[in-house]
Amino acid sequence: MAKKTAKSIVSTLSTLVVATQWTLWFMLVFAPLTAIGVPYLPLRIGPDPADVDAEGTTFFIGLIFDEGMTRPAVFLEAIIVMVMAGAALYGLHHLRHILRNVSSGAAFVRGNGLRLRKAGYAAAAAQIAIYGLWLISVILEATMGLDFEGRVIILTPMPWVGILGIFVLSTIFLEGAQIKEEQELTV
Amino acid sequence: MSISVKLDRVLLDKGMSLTELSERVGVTIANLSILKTGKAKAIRFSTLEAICRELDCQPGDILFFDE
Repeated sequence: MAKKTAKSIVSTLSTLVVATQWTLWFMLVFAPLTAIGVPYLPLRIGPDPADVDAEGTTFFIGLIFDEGMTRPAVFLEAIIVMVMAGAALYGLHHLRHILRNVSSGAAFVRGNGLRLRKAGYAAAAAQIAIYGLWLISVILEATMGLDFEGRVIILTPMPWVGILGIFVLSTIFLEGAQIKEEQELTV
Repeated sequence: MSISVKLDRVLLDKGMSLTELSERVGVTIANLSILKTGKAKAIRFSTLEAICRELDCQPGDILFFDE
């Protein structure tokens, strides 16, 4: 009974992972296309362009961009979305493999721990890249006078809690795999 | 440096097959093969005790320390 429940949980999780992957693929393609194309498309749903500050490209594309963003901010945000979506897709690719292993009865195997660790590295790299992009935008603002009005970069340490969690889990998986291997080879 | 298990000679001396030992000790042939081929990471005292009892030998007769 418990095994059946675990199987259905794994199956539900796999479906959710696939759905998230599709959303992320959409965002990955949508972000740069919107950043490049929106100012030229008749898509302005925001305030009347006549009321908009002449410096700002005002539009509203609910998923990714906010109203009142300048062009540089839109590009910055598009790059951030691509970095995040790319890292998340990489992590989800590994999660799918882990779920596949778990459903075939191989939960505590070394490969799962290593895959989780890779996902952790990708998440950490994406987070560092976001800080780097924020720094670049600040430098460009100061030196070239580019206006990043409306940029949204959340500089909190909270993502690191999740990233550390991934690394802790991967260590548990690796340790579990070693214990299981020793257990299996104990006669 | 490793501990190796040498069951062959004792089995030969006692004229016992691996299958028979497996039945008497209550350990599967697969597990006895793991023990015999040196892939085992550990051996339970209960297994060692059963093997020594059935083969009428001492642990030192089947376990060797190679430098």
